[in-house]
Amino acid sequence: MENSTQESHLRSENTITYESPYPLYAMAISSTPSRTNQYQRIALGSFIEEYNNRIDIVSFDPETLSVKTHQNLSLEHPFPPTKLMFSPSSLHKSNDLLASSGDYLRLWEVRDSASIEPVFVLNNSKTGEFCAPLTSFDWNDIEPKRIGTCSIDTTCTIWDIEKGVVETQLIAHDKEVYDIAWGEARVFASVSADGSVRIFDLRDKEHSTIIYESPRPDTPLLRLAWNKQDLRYMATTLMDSNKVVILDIRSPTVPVAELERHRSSVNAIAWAPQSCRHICSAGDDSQALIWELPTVAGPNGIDPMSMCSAASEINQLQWSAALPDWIAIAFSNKMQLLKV
Amino acid sequence: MATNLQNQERLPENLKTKLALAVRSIQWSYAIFWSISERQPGVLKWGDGYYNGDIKTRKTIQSIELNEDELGLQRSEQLRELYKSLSIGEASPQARRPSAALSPEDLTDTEWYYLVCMSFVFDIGQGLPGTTLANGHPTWLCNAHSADSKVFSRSLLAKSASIQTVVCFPFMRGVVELGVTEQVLEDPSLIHHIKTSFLEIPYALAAKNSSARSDKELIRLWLKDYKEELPKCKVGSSYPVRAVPILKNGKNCHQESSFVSWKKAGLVLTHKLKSETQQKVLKKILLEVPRMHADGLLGSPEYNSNKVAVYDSEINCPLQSVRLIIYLYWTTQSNTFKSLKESNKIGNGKNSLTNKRKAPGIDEMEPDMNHNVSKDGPADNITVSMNKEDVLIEIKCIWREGILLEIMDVASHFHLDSHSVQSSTMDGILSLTIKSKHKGLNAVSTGTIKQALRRVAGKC
Repeated sequence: MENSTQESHLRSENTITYESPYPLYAMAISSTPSRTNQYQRIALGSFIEEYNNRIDIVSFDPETLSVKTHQNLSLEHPFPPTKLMFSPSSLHKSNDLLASSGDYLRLWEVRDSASIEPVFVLNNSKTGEFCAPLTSFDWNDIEPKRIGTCSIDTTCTIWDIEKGVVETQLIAHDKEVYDIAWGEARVFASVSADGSVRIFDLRDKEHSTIIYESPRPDTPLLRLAWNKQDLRYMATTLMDSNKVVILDIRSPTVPVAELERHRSSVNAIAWAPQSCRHICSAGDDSQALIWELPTVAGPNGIDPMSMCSAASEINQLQWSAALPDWIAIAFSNKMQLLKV
Repeated sequence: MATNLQNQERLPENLKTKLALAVRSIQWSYAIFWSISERQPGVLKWGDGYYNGDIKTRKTIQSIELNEDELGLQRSEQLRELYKSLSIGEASPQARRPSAALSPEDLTDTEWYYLVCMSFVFDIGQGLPGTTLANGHPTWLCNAHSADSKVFSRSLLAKSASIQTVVCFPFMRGVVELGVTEQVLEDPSLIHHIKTSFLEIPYALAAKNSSARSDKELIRLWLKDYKEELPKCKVGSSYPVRAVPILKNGKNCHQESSFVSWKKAGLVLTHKLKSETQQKVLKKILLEVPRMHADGLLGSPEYNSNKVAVYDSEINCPLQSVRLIIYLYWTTQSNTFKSLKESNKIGNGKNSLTNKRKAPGIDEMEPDMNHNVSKDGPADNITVSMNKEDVLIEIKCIWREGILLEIMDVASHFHLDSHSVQSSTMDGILSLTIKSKHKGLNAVSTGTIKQALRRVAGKC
């Protein structure tokens, strides 16, 4: 029962552009293709600096290279969602689940383009006290009932979404936590305004390992990405910096590489889903760069392998295993799909 | 391999380098040297070649930094290796190719053409190279892709590779062939230029450089000496990288990549890095949006100088007791209790599962929202009421900077544990309601509290 209304696709050269009525920030690509068609769902969160914001779900068809909107698959959200994510493919459910973070962690069930129904609103304040808003979250691939959220109150909360309860809550950092990423079923890492990357193991909640600290003390680290193809490597970005810092968790504190070819600050990073040595980054210089990490770096640093330019600052980047040939970027009010 | 070595000895010095320079200077797609076979004197076979056309997927061993010249040479070598492994492969299918080697799907059609050429042999007088050698003078073939196969036996191959022009001329004990994917009209001076500039090198240089130099160094030397004479050569930088080996999924091969090879030119940190706000959206998402959720507070202290936000009581407020959120929402224009309205919206979700976030005391404060601020009333209006331990303070006074904190100071001085605070400002008048519990050991009268508050409120 598909209720798709518009088909809006702008194709110039080899990119597919979807123009949204409002600026975009959060974005997620579904990890499972739809059963009925071969199209891919993409969730887009608006970035309007007001209370009323929206999450829209569009469908991308890689065969016809078009993006369709669905009137029924649109949600309200208070203030801009800080992150969106679809359930991993390891969660064997018939319908896609979409999670969003903002004031709370919210879960919705997407029923085949027909409707989207709320499942949970997860609020960890049982006593009615102030619940700290979430800056980001990550859905555990290996243990898909687990979602880790991070917040401005320096804590990370691990949720059991099957039961809808908190599994555990840790005070992760000294300052606001900005991003979180799962490595294994029980291991996650987080970055914070205190400038550190820390790894936590749920089996030993008392201790964490600092694997990197920003060179100038208290330079916040804003984004974190864990290489799912090679768990030794992580990438992080700093505030007001054009560097992408590659870390090897076996050698803490010293980065393996610093990718410094963006002409302005980096806003988003994503490891390639099908290769352990490729990473994509995008930033204020309107460029998306794909890097191939060499086994040995040359003396002049590492140059990107390829690049793509957008019309304005790129704020978001997604590279999904379900759509490995395409990179989705968001800039101003547009979402663009770039062919790798 | 033995025959190969023998072949090498018969080939002119540094042939590959010469071919490379020659084809790159005219920006054609490939150069091949057909040499007379050692074992079969009447037959021309593959001697050496240099590929200069479009490539598809680059495969290099990354431990070695290669410049553009070296990359081109490496590509030609890789193609040769691939050809060898494919021909060996027919004999022994188990042959494994090293990881950095090319595989057939990494090649463009033009590369395939070049590779298949390696398998060709020509009798003297047969095919384009054969006829050229027999005649002893150059042959220029336009429309190679539609040529008669008796004249040009590879015409079908050329068609698939879009090779449109092929030129052959005799050189030393063989034939040099050059090909390009464009239509180029016959130009004898081009052949002459190639012969003299690249192929017939000055004896001195050749002797000096005999075996000591590698091909790569030679190219560098040549380019250094001949740079002025060389026409502008855009090697390497213009190759569109159509796909990357590791990243290709196999599906939708017809779709061209949105990405192009990265170019170093223009790597200058833009002024943006210094002057304007960077990472605007990202910073707002991480720094401001979460604070917007603090029950409708619009913005952080740094965000807008008109709005003052004090929301984390444990740091900013002198009261150390129960967690408390103080709202200071002040505009010079409106009197809306925007913050409370927003928190109502959170509670009024259409969805019954929405949990209402409870800031202490907000629900109880709702009725007070609807109080009209009386403009005609006295400028100072203080009410303190006590019921056992519960103390309710209501103040209306002229707002000034810091007055709220001073009032809270008074409350704490009297050991009043405030558990809910509600304030708003309109037209410069502050309306404040505090609900608290008296926790002090000594009893205190409402009058005393009122007096203290009046002193604070009355100050200008």
